[in-house]
Amino acid sequence: MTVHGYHPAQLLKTQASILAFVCIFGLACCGLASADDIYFDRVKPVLEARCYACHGALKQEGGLRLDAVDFILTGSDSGEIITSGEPQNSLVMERITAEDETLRMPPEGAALSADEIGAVAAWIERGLPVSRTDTPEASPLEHWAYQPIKSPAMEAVVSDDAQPENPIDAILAAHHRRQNLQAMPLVDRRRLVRRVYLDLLGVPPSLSEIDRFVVDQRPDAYGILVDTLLQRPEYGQRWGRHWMDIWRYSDWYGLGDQLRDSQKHLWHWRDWIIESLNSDKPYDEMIVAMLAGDELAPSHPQTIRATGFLARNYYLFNRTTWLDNTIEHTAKAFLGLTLNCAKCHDHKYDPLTQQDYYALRAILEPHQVRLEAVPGETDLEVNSYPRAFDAHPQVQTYLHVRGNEKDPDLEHPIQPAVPTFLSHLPFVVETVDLPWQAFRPELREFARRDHLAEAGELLTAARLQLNQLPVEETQSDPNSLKRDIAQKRVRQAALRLPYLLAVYESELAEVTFPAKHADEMVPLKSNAVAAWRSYELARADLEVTQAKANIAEQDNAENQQLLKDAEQRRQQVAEGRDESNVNVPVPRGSRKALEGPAETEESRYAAYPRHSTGRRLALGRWIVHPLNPLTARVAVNHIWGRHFGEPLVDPVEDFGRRTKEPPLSDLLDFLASQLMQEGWQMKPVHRMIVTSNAYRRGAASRNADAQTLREDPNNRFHWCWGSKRMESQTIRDSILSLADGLDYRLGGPSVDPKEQPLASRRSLYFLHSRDDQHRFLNMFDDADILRCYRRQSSVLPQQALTLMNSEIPLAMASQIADRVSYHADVTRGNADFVRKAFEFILCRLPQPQEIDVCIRAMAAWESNGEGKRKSEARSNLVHTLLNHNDFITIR
Amino acid sequence: MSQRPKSENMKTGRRAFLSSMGTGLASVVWSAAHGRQVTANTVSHPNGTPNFAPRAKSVIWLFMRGGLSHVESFDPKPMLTKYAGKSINETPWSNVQDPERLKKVRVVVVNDANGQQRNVLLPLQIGYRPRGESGIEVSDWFPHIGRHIDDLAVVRSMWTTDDNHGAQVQFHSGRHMLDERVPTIGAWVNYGLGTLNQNLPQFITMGPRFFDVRDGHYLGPAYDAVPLTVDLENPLPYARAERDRLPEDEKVAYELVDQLSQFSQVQYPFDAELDARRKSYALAARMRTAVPKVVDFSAETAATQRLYGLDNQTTRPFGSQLLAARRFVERGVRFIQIMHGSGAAGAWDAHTKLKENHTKLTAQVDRPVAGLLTDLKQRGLLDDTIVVFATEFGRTPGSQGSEGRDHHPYGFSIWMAGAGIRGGVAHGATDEIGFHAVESPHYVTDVHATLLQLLGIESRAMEVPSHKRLERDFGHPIEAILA
Repeated sequence: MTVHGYHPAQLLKTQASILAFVCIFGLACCGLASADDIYFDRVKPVLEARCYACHGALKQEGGLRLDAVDFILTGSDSGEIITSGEPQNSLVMERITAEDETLRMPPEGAALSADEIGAVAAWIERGLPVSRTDTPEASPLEHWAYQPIKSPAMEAVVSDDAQPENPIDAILAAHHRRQNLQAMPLVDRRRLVRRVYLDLLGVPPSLSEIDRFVVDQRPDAYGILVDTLLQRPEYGQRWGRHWMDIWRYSDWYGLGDQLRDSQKHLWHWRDWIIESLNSDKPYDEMIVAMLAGDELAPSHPQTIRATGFLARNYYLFNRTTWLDNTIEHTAKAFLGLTLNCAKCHDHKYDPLTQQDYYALRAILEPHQVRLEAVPGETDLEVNSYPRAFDAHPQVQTYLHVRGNEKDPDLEHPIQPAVPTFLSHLPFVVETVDLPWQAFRPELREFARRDHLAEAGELLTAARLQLNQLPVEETQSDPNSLKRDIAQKRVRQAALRLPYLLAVYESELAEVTFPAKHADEMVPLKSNAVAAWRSYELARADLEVTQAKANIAEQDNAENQQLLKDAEQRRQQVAEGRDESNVNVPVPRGSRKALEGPAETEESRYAAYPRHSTGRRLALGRWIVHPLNPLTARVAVNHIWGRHFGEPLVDPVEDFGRRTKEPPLSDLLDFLASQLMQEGWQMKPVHRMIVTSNAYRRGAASRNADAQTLREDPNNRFHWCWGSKRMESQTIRDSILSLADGLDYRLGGPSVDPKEQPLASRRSLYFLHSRDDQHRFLNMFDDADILRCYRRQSSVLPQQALTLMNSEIPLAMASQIADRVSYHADVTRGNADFVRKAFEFILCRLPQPQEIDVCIRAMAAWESNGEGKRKSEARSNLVHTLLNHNDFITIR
Repeated sequence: MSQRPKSENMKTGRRAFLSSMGTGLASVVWSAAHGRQVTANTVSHPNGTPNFAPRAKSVIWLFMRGGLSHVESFDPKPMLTKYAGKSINETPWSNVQDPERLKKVRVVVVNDANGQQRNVLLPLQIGYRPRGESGIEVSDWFPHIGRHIDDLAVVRSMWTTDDNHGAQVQFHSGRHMLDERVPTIGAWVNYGLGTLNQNLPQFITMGPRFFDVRDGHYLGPAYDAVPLTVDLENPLPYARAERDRLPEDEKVAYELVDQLSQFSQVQYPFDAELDARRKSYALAARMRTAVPKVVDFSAETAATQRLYGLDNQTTRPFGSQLLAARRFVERGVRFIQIMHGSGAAGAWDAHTKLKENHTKLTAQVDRPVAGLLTDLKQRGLLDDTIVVFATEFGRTPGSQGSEGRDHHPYGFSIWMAGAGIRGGVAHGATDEIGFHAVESPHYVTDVHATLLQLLGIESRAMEVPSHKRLERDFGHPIEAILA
């Protein structure tokens, strides 16, 4: 056996060390594990964890597979790797024990541990015993999540509280029967109404809403309630926040005024999300709109707002970072694919190549983002909406060698494509011809109207200013210069209107008339030029006068220079001749985001292309193709997880081979096919879930079946309700809502951090960026703006301090206490107050011993301090209940 | 209740349960950050005990925000004075600006004010002299710290890759601002070791933070530093009610919350989160009283207070934080991070008038830091505490504006002292004009690796599934300064 690159001495040393391993570990092991199990118990797990990625079903580096004994014995392209009984003569041992890191296997991460090496050595030493048939890894394409979605066959439901019409229960009942699990009974109505309000609306029910439901005798009272809740606009706010987590909503941030990340006014996208959910816009349409709203509906800003999804990834300093984020989170959010792992090399576990990574980048490569005017506002800084558009259809994409952006493979431009292993689904790129509204947004009707209105207002203001100046006749009048300026300002303002009208007429004619009518354009164009020139002359004249006024005030070199410049400009305008070539400016209606810190202002205003590549539209349609095995599964997994606190597939963003088929894959598939059958509308799926018995079960109490607890302690089969903590927004919103202090208004700009402490708006409207996070919300695991496929749920002493001591619960407690007092019969003492407080705040009736300790505490509060302290005692009780685990927990 | 042990399993799908492990870990109780069930193939959460015998228990981390001039602090460069006014090209060290050698830095902001090559050498703005037995040279801006030189290990060959103040984040996390945000060194120490005191926050930060106010990142908010102020009234966020409230009312409230939780526990014996929350309230109540006691210096002698400069307006703010740090160390807090220099970029950012700037700022820190070292030593605390004195980068040899220096990531200095650190060492070197780290260069994570090594933490054992750490994140211990 020859070993390349080994010095004989080194080889000797290696053999010595292998021998040492055999002596120390190999033999020692014999006593521990029975020989037959060495391979399955100790060798195969190591190979699987450390070697299969390159030497398994996915890849066979060097022609070597290690995922079954037969392959191991076959060896690699360079021959056998094992000599049975002779670890010291086995290539595999040399490679795993090599001291030279360039030779050592595995090439990445730490070397195998002495224990692991010892196991391999012992197995070889004993002659490669294998106790049973060894099956190789399945083909990567056979991975469960890549198989077509199949709605499972239903079994008849057999259970006491069965709702045979709900297929979720049918599926779960079958599992329970097989696993011999005893499900918990359904929860009482009070807890149920709280659960479903918090889940669907993000706020608890009011006392009257609780009472109404508790006494509702109609057979389908609950179904009716669910329908009502799903129609309420708070549903969109609650679930909008969930999807904002997944889609990484973040307001812009940067340094000072410099925008570095995300985009200004991104809230337009947030409002689109909420509106879409409330109108139950199909999920497939939502995805397509977010990736390609501009190509789907190029003259429809309401839809283009959806591309805020792309705009959010904007990053000033580095285009690759920007697109890396877009690629990673498009793949994770919609497909559950960790395509980001294929940026530097082929994916280690999934059938995704580095080529696939850059092919997806090529789809996104042409797009940039811009702010575009919204009706009623001409200043883009004040309001406008961020959107995507294809700015550079010609730009090429290159594979970055080892992920190094400074080392692009210029020889092989990459074509836009979807991951190869799913490329049997149609990915059809067709160029989109854009209507003029898309590439000349400044000519849209509302934009013209807004600029004309603004010009009119300027004129009125200028006239008013002029009229307010005292009339004086003499030359020495100190106001004469002022009057002069004011007059010229009126003149300039007056000339702006005809200029705008003329240029709008001429430009509109150009974009709407076919080119063959070019002759008819000439008079329109010269009108526009003339009107603009008059306006410009008046403007230059005004500037000269202003410069003179400055000198009158302070005669210095700087002001003299300003005057010189102004006079020169006036001269230039006055002398302007070549009228046919003049490009009369149109007031801007949009502004492209800087493509990097070095981009000039000039290039940001370059004309927009008249076509869009259609690549993103093709991507969106490919993602939502009904035969795409991932999209619907990923979506319903998110939905299920947010309803129950635990998703069916974990992690929610990785449906790749590292994630095993979930125990309830039949349920997952049923829900996925259901979503598609409902035309991708989510409300019917929500309804089916929350009306299932699975959703209505009680939490595991002390009465839970012991056998069931032993069998399924993690509730993987949903035999009980898994209590979950409220998300940060729900905590704050609930406290405010109980106090009747929550403002449910929909939409609008994000609430500035300075205004947040006193704001009553729902928490999802608070400005939320890397640099601005709400202190209270942050304490309860607020969404991480960089990635938040699931909220964390920590339990910290700081959270206790926050609920005990921060302004919100303290201030709201007394208002909540007033509301409770209103409903309680306080003439009957504190007991009735306690009862009502439990009903309202925790949505359950107190147990007698709970009433006792509360009454005792209230008595203590009343006697602390001086004077009448009845209301303090009530506020304190309410405040304490807000600190009860049952408050921030959804039971 | 016979099934009690089961309760932990009820939710372990995504959560690690720490409080009942009996390792003296504080507070925290669960965090969903730690992902999945521990299996043979995934890395388990550290259990709060060192992986191997530690040399140190705690770290006091002092960070000068904005960029302390290395050539005028711990790496004096007389050649700058000799060649003052000359362009770098006219000196024997013209090759320092070889584009290949400048490549490693990733420029973030290009403008006139920041991050430019500055060609005309600025003379040293302060004198320097050899100090202590070791004779290591320290500038005259640090006379007090200079007296401790024989306890310090100066590393004169640090380098980083961010030419702007994102380097502050980078110094703590090891990642350039253009890359993703990952946990900082303090968070990793906290994650790996927890605290030795149940009544105090695990990981403390004082002073102005950098851009990124988080530390834990994907480890979760449990591993963010708790911001403290040396304020008897309100040292801890929400330590006191934001509305008037009688202390005796508060006491009743804590008792009632606990009683009600106990009833719930009878009802839901398998709900581990409920149990955790009950403990968190108990801990909060203890923390609320314990933290103010730590920042109450009335038990400290006048001499001790003087040592930290509490008798002087200039030194008092930083000195108080350092004294608090010592008191936290005494009580078992693992990592105390103290930032000096306010403002968006950090006060040390002396683009102009460096002399004025550094004279003022060094006066604020020199005496308190020396006092801290003296105090730790006399109490024997320096035997198991490491003090780190660092900054995000150095300053250019060339001048900017009127006698200022620009950002300089290619070579700069930090020092460490205390447990497991050799004293009287000047390790590594920059070239003669302080441009490049030329001898034993160290990337910022080498500092992290050094600390983790001394604290007994196996850095590579701390990996959270789905958050791959890069080779560079781990760094290599700076062996030459280890005792």
